Amino acid sequence: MTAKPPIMLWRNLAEMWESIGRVPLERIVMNPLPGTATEADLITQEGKADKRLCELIDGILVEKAMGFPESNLAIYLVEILGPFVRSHRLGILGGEGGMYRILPNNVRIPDVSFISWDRLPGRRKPKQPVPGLAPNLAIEILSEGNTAAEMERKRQDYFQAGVELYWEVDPEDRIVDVYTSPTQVTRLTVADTLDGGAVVPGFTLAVQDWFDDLDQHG
Amino acid sequence: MTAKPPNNYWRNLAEMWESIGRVPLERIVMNPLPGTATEADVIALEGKADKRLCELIDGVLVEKAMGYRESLLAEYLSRKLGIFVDDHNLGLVATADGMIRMASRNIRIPDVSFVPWDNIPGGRVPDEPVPGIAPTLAVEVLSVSNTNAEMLGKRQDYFGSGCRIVWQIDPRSRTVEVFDSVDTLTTLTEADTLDGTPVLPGFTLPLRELFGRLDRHA
Repeated sequence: MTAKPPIMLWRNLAEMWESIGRVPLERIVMNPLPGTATEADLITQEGKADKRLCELIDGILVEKAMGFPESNLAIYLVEILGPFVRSHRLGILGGEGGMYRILPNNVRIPDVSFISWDRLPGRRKPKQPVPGLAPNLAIEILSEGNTAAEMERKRQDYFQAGVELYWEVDPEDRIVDVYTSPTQVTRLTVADTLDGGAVVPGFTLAVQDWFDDLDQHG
Repeated sequence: MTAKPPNNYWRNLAEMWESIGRVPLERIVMNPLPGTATEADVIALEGKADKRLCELIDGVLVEKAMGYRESLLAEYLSRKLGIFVDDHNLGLVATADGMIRMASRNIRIPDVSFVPWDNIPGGRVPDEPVPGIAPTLAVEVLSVSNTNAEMLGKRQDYFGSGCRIVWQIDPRSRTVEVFDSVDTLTTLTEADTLDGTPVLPGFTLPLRELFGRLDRHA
């Protein structure tokens, strides 16, 4: 059997690798073949025994880089941000399994995401496994396997899809980069306070408090 | 369309890359998709306008690494071998367009190869574009982008298909590695003489003469 990719975007593997941000080859799924994967494969993948959390980029399943400290930081944020958006009736949060089809053939899974009631059709929670929506706020917590080129592509895709605010969290250096466009960024350190801006009005979190959670012990 | 690789023993791209010898990604063809290519694709590629010489390794089309200096050495060696083989009517000598189907079903393109008449069905020049004949001598002239793992894979195919000697010529170090199995070798320098024994007894070529081809000038 000879399978042709649906859209021939790449002449060789180097071009494909470039386009998805030079992620480690271990994270690129071979079945279905790169270039031929669809949203349906993503859901099947999710149900598998050797379940791997994958994003879909240009028909390629790319495993999400993950780690325990990152997950823990995400949970802390959910614990603070969740009650805030609920009590102010602003919208809902997505977690590490919350897939969005942000663009055609492009499914992303922010570590934490916020989508406003205004943006949700009928102001209701989506029922489908992969809603064709973009969150208002996306948060990514960097893992060791993430590459700079991968994050750049991710930011471009998010903002192109309608994300308004994007936080990129680096647990290693304890900084939070706040993006309001793919190129406009403000770097926050433990001396600063994160705020929700116009997207989550009134929400604030001292960066110090967030990273202090990493040092918590029993 | 979702295409499954026929041989889905690769879970991710890293495993595929490993199995074809970690060649530069630029040399891995994406259409047909890696893992799905067949002999017909190799032949079709050869006929195309943007003709590329590709080997077929585990269903992956891998562009052959080439270069001008490598070609000069291969040309001279094939000329010398051709004359010797014809003078004694021993068999056939092919150059780097000569695609050969290996016992593994891979298709390899040695820079120079010798097949004795005894290994050719009917003792006639084969009709097929990619004959399944076994060269007893295969010669590879190393290019910069050839990797050690890739060369090992080639030798496994050659020796697995009945080859008895592999000459691996390195134009940069001006040495020739003479393999009499996948991993046993003798290294020759410019002071030595290449010897056809046991495949072509009587054939000799001083390496100073071979590498001297690179020092010629007007």
